[in-house]
Amino acid sequence: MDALKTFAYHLTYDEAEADDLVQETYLKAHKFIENYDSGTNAKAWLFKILKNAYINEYRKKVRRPTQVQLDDVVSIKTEDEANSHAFHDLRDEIFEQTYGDEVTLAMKSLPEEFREVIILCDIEDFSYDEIAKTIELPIGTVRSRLFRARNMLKEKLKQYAFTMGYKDIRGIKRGEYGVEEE
Amino acid sequence: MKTFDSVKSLRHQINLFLDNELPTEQKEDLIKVIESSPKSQKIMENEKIFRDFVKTNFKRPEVSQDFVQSIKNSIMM
Repeated sequence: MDALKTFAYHLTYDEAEADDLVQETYLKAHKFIENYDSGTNAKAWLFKILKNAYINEYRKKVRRPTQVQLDDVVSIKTEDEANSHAFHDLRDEIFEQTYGDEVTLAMKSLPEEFREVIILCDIEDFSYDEIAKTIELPIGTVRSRLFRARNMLKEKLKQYAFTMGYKDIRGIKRGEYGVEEE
Repeated sequence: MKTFDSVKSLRHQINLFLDNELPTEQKEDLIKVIESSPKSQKIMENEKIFRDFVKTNFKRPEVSQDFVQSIKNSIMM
């Protein structure tokens, strides 16, 4: 139940709404238990019920605008994508110096579509296949969205680090990472 | 030995590796690259640090026993 509450909280960022979603999830699971495919991942099944409840009821209730598939229409050029061939990425090395609250704030600032894949993979240890089934996306989309989501999260955390005075002063030459020279 | 056409593609492979989603053959290729390249090892270590940091500092709201009991009661009704 802790994992469901965590997922619900990071969809709504409201404790009461998260509790409602979790309760509704268990009630629906109980009501439709015959739909559960015995032997499959029960946790993933519960997460799918919760996500559907969130989409169908909670998000409708609070009249949030429809969220488009960002993977398809937005070309997010993270610093990683723009500069990864030339510079080592500071984002990777700042995390030991930042504080815990930044993770919650940074997660909250991510679009929901990106937030949920990080939660399912990095927090709940779902496989890509389980994530794909839970949020009903092709596995290739899960893979690319997760990679992008992590980069976005690093970028957000880097912004916090910069506000704390950390600077990226290191340049790394090509060829040092097993990367082909041009 | 396999090479990667960009740091981004290497990072992508490392992410798949850490997610345990890399096919065996590609996993073996990646391990060879990492074993031979301290800089690649550093990327791998940093990815692990990032994941540990997120997991450790991620807010997990508490679930009270009263709440658990209220759900049980609802199901029993």
